[in-house]
Amino acid sequence: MRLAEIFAKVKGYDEHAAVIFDRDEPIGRPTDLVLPPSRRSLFRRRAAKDSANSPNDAPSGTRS
Amino acid sequence: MNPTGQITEEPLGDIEVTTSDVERVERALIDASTRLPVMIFYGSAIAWLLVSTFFGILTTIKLFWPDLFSNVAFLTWGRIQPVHWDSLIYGWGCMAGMGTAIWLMARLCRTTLRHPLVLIAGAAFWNVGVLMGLLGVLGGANTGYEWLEFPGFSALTLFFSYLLVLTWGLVMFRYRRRGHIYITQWYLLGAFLWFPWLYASAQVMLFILPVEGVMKAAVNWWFANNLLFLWFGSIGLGTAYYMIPKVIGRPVHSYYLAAIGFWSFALFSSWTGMMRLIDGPFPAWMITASIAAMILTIIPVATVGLNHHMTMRDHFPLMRYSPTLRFTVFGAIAYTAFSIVGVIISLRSMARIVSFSEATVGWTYMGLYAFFTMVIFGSMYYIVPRLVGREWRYASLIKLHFWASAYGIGLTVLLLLVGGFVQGLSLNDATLPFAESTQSILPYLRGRTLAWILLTVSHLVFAFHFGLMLLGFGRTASVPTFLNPLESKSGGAH
Repeated sequence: MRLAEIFAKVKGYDEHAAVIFDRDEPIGRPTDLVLPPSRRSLFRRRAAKDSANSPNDAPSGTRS
Repeated sequence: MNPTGQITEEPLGDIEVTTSDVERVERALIDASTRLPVMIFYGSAIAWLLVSTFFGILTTIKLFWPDLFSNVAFLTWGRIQPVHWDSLIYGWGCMAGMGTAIWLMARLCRTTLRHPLVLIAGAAFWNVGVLMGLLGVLGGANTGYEWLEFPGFSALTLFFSYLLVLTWGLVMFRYRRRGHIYITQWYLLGAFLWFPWLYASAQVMLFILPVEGVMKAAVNWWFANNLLFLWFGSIGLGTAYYMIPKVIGRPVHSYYLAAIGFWSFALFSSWTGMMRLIDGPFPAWMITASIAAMILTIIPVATVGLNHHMTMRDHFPLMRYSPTLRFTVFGAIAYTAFSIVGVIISLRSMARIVSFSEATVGWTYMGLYAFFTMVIFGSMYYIVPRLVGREWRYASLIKLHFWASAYGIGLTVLLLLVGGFVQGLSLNDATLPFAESTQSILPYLRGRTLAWILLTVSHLVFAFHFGLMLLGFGRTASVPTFLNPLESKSGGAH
């Protein structure tokens, strides 16, 4: 197996980390806090990366 | 819902149902099904925590005031000390850990809990077992083995009530929704299976078909250390792997690293028991293997610590707001500290100084309280509002709980580690009389009582707050209770 294939496999394995998120509680949306605006910039960077998984770029607190 | 308790997505005529709606309803159904058993486990755990706190503070006082209640047999140090530890381990730790594990397993398996009465019966019998055990120890029926002091009838009750809980854990796992098994489930499943193995093996080898001579001590410490690592450690780490990503809304930094951490944890932690018996009358290989295993636990510690740190990177300021995050991150950091201190005190040169001192007690508190209990407190702040449908009443009480716990356990551990080291140095000095070693640690023991007063305050506050939630006095709001007010009006509803 080539090194690139191994890296691809490892990277693919990392995707399992997202199984605790779903459409109602997506990546990028915290589930136990509402963010003050001054802290939202912390999430914007991440939200941009995960935009495919996260329909909401502005995180808000949810309780479900 | 299908016959196995799984929720299926079905068309509802003309009503338009989105996947998001289905997921929300699914979670609500799972929470509703786990409500009663989990709240019973939590409520019982907190009651036992208060019992343990009472005996804990009495224990600390009697270490420098031994004549206190010395004419009352059941309040002598030899009885209240095991009662403190056993109520902390089997009353608080096991019940709170099982409550969190049941909820997490149901959520991650995406199955509702069927026939919760069996679990409720398990909780009830566990309570009976702990109560009988504590009364037995107070009455003088102590077996003499560390963390296995409960008399036989109590141990048997605990074991069979645990089997009821285990069965339900396995049933949930068996009927889980198809998909990847998350790392938290690995830890929880491991804990579910390791506990009966540890407990049954120790009971058989110490009481039913007892091994000979010093091997009893080996079995005893194999059990005690593994209970700390494989049972409490697994539940604590599994919970942290769920809570941290979920609260901040960011997946675990490296899932691959998490898998390596789990398997190395399972492999090395189970060998560490003999580190408590360094220089004891045992084959050298037994002790050396345990020391080597303890050093190798640096691998899971590094992977877990790095993973949690990288997951939290740029998000640490959020600990200012979320109670769950604050407690869980404190616990996760304490796990790293606990393991590093464990490696240091397992080295022969250090063990010769501290192994018969209070330092080992401080190290145990680090694992059982600073790590496990703090993570479980965090999980309770997350889970309870979802079960009772209300938010925590007072942010000020959560803050008081956190700071009293953090300072209380921080001081306890620091005083016991430093005091234990000083005590060990005095013990090893042949020119000093033995009484000198007990004198040298007295200031630290008095300080420890002050630390326990802080812990008592923290536990009373938490019990009161939990009681308010249980009685329906929580806030009716759609957003959580934050530790600090948000900094802007547009930050969301409070």
